Amino acid sequence: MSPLKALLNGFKEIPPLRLVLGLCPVLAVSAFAENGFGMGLAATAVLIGSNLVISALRNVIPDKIRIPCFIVVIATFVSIVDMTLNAFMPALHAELGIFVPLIVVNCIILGRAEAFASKNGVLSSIADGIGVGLSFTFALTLLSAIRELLGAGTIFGVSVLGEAYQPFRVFGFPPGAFIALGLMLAFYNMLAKKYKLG
Amino acid sequence: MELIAIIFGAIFINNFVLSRFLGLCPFVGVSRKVETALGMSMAVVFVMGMTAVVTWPIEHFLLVPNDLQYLRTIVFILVIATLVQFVELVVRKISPALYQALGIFLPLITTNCAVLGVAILNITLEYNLLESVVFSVAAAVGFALALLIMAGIRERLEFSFVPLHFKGISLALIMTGILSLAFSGFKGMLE
Amino acid sequence: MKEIVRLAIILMLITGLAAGSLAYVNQITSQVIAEREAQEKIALIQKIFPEAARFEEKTIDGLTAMLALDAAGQAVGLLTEGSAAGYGGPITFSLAVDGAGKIVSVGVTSHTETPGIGDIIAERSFLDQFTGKTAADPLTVGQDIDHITGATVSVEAMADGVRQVLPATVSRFLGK
Repeated sequence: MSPLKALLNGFKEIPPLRLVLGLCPVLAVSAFAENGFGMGLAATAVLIGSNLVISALRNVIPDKIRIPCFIVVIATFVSIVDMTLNAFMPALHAELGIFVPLIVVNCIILGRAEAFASKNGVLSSIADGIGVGLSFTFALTLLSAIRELLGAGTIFGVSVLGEAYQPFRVFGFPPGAFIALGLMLAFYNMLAKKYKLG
Repeated sequence: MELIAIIFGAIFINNFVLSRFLGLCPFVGVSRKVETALGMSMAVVFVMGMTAVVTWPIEHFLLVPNDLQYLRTIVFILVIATLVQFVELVVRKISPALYQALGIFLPLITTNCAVLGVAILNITLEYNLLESVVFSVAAAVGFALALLIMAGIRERLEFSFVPLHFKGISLALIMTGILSLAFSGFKGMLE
Repeated sequence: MKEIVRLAIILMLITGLAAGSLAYVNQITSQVIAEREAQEKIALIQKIFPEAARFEEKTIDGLTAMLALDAAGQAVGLLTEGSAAGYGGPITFSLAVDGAGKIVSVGVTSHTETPGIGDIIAERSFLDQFTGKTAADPLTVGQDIDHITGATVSVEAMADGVRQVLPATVSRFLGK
């Protein structure tokens, strides 16, 4: 598959469905747009790195132990991202907390390793990582912007709804996270039905 | 007293699924039937308890003395993956009946973020070995509780009218939100 | 059998490579982190004690504090860190004390208290209650620190933490 096609294909998969694959971090860090965006980029960096290494080693790794090998590669990139964030973006690192190391068990990343990187060339795999990562980032930023808007009246910390707005505090907390994503999915289903997508 | 607070906190107040957002994939994936939810729950309680017993000594006797904390993520995930395989083997040898009940859930547990999550939380919350094990088992029981309640609700929903666009995961998430709202009522109990 | 050995060797090679690259990255980032933390500490203490001429980090009996010294080498204040067992996990806080042993400011550096309830302990309105207190004050919830309904555990934890750290540092570093 050509790199450009891989990139587009990676991006194309319906973003809200991406969110369902990586539920834990999606709900945990989406109270503020900035955190959602940061988490999305962190996951993208891991995806690109792990896709690159796994596709480069795809002929070396024996089939029988491929899953443990994938996990080692992914865990390595997760740790690198974790340490880099801690060094250069300490505030974001503190906000994301335990969910940075938990990128390891994010189904999206192992899924791309198994479904794409282990079968395709290096360039295409990098492109796939970028595409999938950006679509995840996009969806995650959208969800967290909605939650921040409703829960605090701001987006990326900038006041949008003004002083008079009484925020729905609950959208900043766990119950609101579940409800917001549930509504987003329902809304997507409605659009999909109407315009006959997917 | 401290331990009772840990148990109560892990099950009700900071419920893994409803408040800490851990273990959501299996929560949504296997909460369609009470029977499978029960099997998954038992497997998770078992594996999470074992994980605490194994990862705590690794952190405190191997990683910390040698300044190797940066290898924590990679070591823990490998240990958990190996542990799950090992548990699968042992259960198959010792009790075929139990294997029948838990077998298909065990491989899924490696990628359950609640397991890796509890191993890391035990370190960041600075628990000792006993507290870690108690916290892990209690957290798993909390996961099981949420899973079983959800499975019960979803079984009933099978026979209810659901607006078209809300079918499936969308409604499951909204119900989880309401459940989470109900559980947040426990917050005031210990503070 | 031969097959298993081959697989094991490959897996070990990959893991070894992974550990090696992590060690390398850790070496770089841990330096950056240590430097940043030292800089942040100096920036903070400079803001609190602008009159100080130089700063010096000292460790006595396992307690570490950053001392602010005037031109004559007299301590005009110090900055130290403490931790307390909060409701959701450990709370770490910084404590600035002037040369006379009076608290100049308390700040929470990290905590995992319940949002909207226990996280009141990180707010200025709560922390400013400590300002001006000395080791001679009771620093007890209900006496000189306000009780906050619903956040008993968090508030008690902070008061306990300050009550323990304050006399320990003042006696060791300021000789009072």
